[in-house]
Amino acid sequence: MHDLSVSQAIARTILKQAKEKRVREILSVNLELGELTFLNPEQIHFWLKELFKDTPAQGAKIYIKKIFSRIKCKKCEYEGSMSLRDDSFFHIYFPLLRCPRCNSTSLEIKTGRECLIRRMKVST
Amino acid sequence: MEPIKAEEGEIFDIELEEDLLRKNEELARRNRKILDEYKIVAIDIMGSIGTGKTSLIKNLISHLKGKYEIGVIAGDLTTTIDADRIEKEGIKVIQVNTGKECHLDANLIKKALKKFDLGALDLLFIENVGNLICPADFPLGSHCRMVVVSVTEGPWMVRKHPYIFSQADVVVINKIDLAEAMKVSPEKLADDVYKINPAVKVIPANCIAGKGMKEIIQALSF
Repeated sequence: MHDLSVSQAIARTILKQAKEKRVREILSVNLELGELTFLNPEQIHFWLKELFKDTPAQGAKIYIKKIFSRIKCKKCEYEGSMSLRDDSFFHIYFPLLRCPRCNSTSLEIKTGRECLIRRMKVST
Repeated sequence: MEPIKAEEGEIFDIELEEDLLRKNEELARRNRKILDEYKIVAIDIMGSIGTGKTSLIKNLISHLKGKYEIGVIAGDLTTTIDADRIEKEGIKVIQVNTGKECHLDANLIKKALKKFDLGALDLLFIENVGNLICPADFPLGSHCRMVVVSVTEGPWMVRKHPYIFSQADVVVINKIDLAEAMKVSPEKLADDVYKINPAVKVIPANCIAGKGMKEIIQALSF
């Protein structure tokens, strides 16, 4: 839902870097989005294409990698992926915020909350 | 013969490694540190539009005024309607207008905190923008996240927005006096919340008449 404002922040960060490094053209941009965020890769891709128009990033290829969630249980020390529930209750894969081993809800989310600009390829 | 020349420009990678959501989380941690230094307990109140967030805050204030020094940050796209409503309780309110943004973020809270005399505050209510989706992505630095849902929104509100309920510490089911007329069961809404988040405290309430306020204050346990 806030994909536009997040895309604007991504574009701002990228174009600022490009200006500082005196880049002529941005060839590609690599992003990573965690599955536990409310960010939709397709929408981010769409908005970045729009925001990059008439900038050095106009022709940039945009790669978005999905980061799957990993948790650490504070109770039993389990570390790994979450259980995904796919039933008629939600109609979607919704990550259960519970330890799959001991059922505890006291978890540390290790990965899955990313909105990362990893790198960009540029030419001068 | 014209030789083929290599392009003069260089091609290289720039590693940015910049995480925008993590930036917000870091700012939220800094907000929390400031709040802790001043021994202020902050409560982030989320819920959809018209669910009764402002009425809940007003009623909580009337119960807690005198015992605690209270401040309120009211978030909305525009207008000072909510801030004006709460100000009538004789409380310091900072209105944050987000313009087009669908949620408050930690940076806006950082700015709003500067407007308070923090040394004089015990308790801070933060009314988020009416929305069950985006605020879940943006922690503010609060000690407790409360979600308000009401029976007038229909029976499926909780199931449709599992993530925000999974993050809540306290859930208020509001407008229970209208449950029969709406043919919506507050118990079923509560069941849905417990399915998503078994550790949460769910409290049925009527925030206009003040029903459930004592239980909410107890659940907040500040």
